Amino acid sequence: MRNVKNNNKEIIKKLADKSFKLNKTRNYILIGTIVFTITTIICIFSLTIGRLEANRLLYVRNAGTTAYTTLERATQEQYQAIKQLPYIKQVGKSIKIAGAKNFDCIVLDHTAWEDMQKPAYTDIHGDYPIKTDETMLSVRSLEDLGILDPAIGMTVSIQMQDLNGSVITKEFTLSGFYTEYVDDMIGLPSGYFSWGALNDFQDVEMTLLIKQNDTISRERIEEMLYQDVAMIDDTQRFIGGNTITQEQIYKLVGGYDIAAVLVVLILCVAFLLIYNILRISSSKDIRQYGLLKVLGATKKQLKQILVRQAIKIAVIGCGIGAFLGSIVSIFIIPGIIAKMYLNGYGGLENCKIFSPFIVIFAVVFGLIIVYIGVISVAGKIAGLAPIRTINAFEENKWYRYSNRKLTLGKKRYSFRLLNMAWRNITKRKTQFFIIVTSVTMGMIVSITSVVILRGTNTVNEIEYENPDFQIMTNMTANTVSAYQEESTFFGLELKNQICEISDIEHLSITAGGYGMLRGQEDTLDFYSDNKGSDSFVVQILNEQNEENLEQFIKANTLQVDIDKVREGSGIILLHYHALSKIQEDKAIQNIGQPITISNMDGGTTTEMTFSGVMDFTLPDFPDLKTTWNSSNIVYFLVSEKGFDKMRLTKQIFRMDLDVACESEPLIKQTLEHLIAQYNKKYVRDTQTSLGIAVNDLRTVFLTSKSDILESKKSSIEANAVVMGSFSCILIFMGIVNYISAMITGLTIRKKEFAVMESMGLTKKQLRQMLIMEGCLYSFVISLQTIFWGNIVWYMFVKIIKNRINYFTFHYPTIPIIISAALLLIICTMIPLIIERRSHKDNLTDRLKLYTD
Amino acid sequence: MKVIEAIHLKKEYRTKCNTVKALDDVSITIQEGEFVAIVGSSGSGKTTLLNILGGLDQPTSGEVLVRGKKLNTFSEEERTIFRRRNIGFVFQNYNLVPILNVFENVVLPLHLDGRLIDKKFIDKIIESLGLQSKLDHMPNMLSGGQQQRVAIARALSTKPAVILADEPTGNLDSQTGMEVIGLLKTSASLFHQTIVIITHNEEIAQMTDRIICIEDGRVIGA
Repeated sequence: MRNVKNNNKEIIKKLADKSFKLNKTRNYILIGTIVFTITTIICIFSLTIGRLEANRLLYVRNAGTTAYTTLERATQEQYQAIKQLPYIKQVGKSIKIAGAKNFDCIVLDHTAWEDMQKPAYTDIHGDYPIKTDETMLSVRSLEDLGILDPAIGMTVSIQMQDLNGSVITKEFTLSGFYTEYVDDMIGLPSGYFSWGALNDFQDVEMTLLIKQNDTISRERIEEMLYQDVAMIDDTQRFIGGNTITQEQIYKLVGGYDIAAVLVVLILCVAFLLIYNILRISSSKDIRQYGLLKVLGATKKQLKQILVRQAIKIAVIGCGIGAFLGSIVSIFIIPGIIAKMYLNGYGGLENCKIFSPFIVIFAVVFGLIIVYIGVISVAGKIAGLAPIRTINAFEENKWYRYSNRKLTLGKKRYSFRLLNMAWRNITKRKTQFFIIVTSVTMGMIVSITSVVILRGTNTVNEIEYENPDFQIMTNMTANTVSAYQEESTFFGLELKNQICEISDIEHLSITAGGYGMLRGQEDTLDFYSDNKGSDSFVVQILNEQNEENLEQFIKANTLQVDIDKVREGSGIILLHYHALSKIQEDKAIQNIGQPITISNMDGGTTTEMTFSGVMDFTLPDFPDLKTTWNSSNIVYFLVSEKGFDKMRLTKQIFRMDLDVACESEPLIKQTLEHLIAQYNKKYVRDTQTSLGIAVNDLRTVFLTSKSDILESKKSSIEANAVVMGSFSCILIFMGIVNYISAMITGLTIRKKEFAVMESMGLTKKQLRQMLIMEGCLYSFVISLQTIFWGNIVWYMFVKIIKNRINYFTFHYPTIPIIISAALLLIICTMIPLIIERRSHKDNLTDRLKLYTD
Repeated sequence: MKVIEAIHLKKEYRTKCNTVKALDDVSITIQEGEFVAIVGSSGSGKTTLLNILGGLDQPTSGEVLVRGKKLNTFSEEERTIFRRRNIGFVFQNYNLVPILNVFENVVLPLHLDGRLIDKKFIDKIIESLGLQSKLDHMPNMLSGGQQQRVAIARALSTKPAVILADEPTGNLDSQTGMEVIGLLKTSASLFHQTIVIITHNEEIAQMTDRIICIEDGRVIGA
């Protein structure tokens, strides 16, 4: 037996090809499902990448660089050491040679230009300078120089001051120009010079621009670098940053792990969609395969027949899906993303959204699902006893109950019809389970994405971080010395007028003072290189601030003597990530040392006790509404008692108001009027040489949350559209599964309906039964969605809330209602449409349908 | 020579409540060239017996030998291939493969076996069954009688040891039914076939060489 040849490739091919040709409806449904799935996967991933890329570009263009981490005043040895580190992707050199009026004069190496700076710019014309007398400037810098229409090769005269303070004026040839998007408030743009220009400057300062591996956080990279690279002195520091990808993934969904879970869930929905349709469509031909088995087709031969057809379907479906998905990713999604997120920020230049790897992944995934599905189905069919499959329809259980139940009396008629409907949908348990699971999963994933994306929305971030109104003084510690000691820079009268406004729900006042550091300041010697002058600003901590800081200190085991602060003798130095590790260590050693301070004119002096340093940029730092704070401002925190001891002129730095929602517009108007009246006293006549009026520093300014939201309106709307599209696609995926399964299943049941009609079931009763089946499906799916969904949402929210403190959970009532309503409509409409179409053939023909 | 031998066959279906004995110690022998009818009332176990004899179903206990080979010693794949080569089936509802034409249906078992077709033999079968003009037709273009002829031709094409026919005339009118039985009988003698048919029809049963009566899963007369 075993030695007899069994060569039958031709008949397998013939059976597979003929079966393929004759099963057009099945093919269309399957191919359509695969096309939809592949296209959806490509679109979802492209949309997500597009959103991340847009955010990345915004981030990079605003920052003016793609570098995550920097090292100031670096040496060549440090450069070499960092370059060797396995966790560092790239390191480039940025050398400051001088400063011009409106830009820094910088020389970059190849890596720094090509990989760190160039990607942050758009509309780049010309090349990086090569010759000593060449320069490349930003359009903004050129405009400041009076050049509104730059051209490559034109001569530009630049007055620059080197790091020793010497001023020189030189003429350069413009080798290139570009557009940058760095905020004026954050920093100056850079003007680039050739490597040869270094010879003309003795003292230069090198900063290393560093990119670490994507998974290393800001805190971790600093820790690692301090460990592996020797510092040249105490004040040299690494300023670490999160990688852009990590930052964006974190902000979008709360982290890589949550993103991975969502990806897996989406792929599971896709898998169930295709598998379910394969399974149902194959069951239609079960009798044929049973017959082949009776006639002597082996399991392997049956599998080959099925697999052959499936491969054809998969190749066609994946091919069309890949094509459509690619078209959408290349031509439609980038346009949407650019319009919504990057308007005014250079568009999608230097950005790729379409990734062939996504297309390949989607196609391979589709092929794998189809293969797994068909092998599973083929195994099941081949495993059935041939005599069972050949008699598949005669064994159908519905015959038994429908015979009894069709003679329906008027009493309990609806209940019996409902009973029939329930038995119809649950008689094929596997099919019922797969349909309910796949649609439920699709709905849960979709609604979860709504919950996450809505919760991490920019609106929430703005709402969390900003009060309704913030009125702040323009004065800083760097400029206060120009004014008299007793001057106040936020009038009491204005403060009282603001306090009297009605409908204010919450009001907080940040107060403190300005002073000078006097006498021996060994205590602050670790900070000496940071501070711009001897003047300082001190903020008064209220009770809540003190409590929050104390909890934060305990939670992070920081070395800060908060008790001394509470007593009234302690003073904390607050900095904005301005200290190196060595400086921080030295600061700890100096805790308990005296600091002598005086008021601005030196009339009164007080000794305070240094109680430690706190870095404002640490994760989960307590909410502290500060006044102007930068790396060269000495910023202290004291208690009320401590401030009284200092005997400084009390200043109001800012007022933060939260108001009743409906009163916001009116209050805004009132505040604008009050502030305008107040500021009128301080309008100056002088202007800059370019004709711009300068704000007197004794004025105050208003920032309202509604204005911030308005400025971010396009981004917020873009997020809503993207979020909406994303969740619609996912819901649609689940519903397509239901539609496809119903169409396929109902097509198979045509004879069943015909037999029931022949036994007395009226068309009206049949329609009612089908409507009930649809209602039951939608009811079960909706219940499952709510039950499992609540568990899933609870888990996700708990995880994300720990990571993103502005995350806001809104129970997805509307999405649930919309999904349930949509599902109910579709669940009832589809069976009715199929049933109506089936009545086009007469009853006799439909009864003969399967036999033929 | 014995073509089929069934020894102490038993087939039981167990449910939660009870055990149904479809076959209860059935032993029969069918000689080569015989035309045998199995008769019995509805639910007597005729079809179960036929399915077990054809290797489509497994007995709870007992043995079936076809051409001396014990079916229960084969693996499923071996049994399938053995069935393909040694047993032909004719069903009440014809069970032609709807996607193949008449000729393709007739030679399907041969193709599944990967064998070369004995064209002369196939032509002879087709001629004897009057199917020459129908070879390109699809099954749904044929009448019931014509479809049953195709089914018979298919069953004969592999020169099987035995043809098992389950109510081959059940869906046919009496005249056509008689024609089909006539064809079966002719084929049996022409091709030296052994044929076992299940029938309710007394008249048809009388046309066979031997009648095996089965009732409540037992052979009560042969």
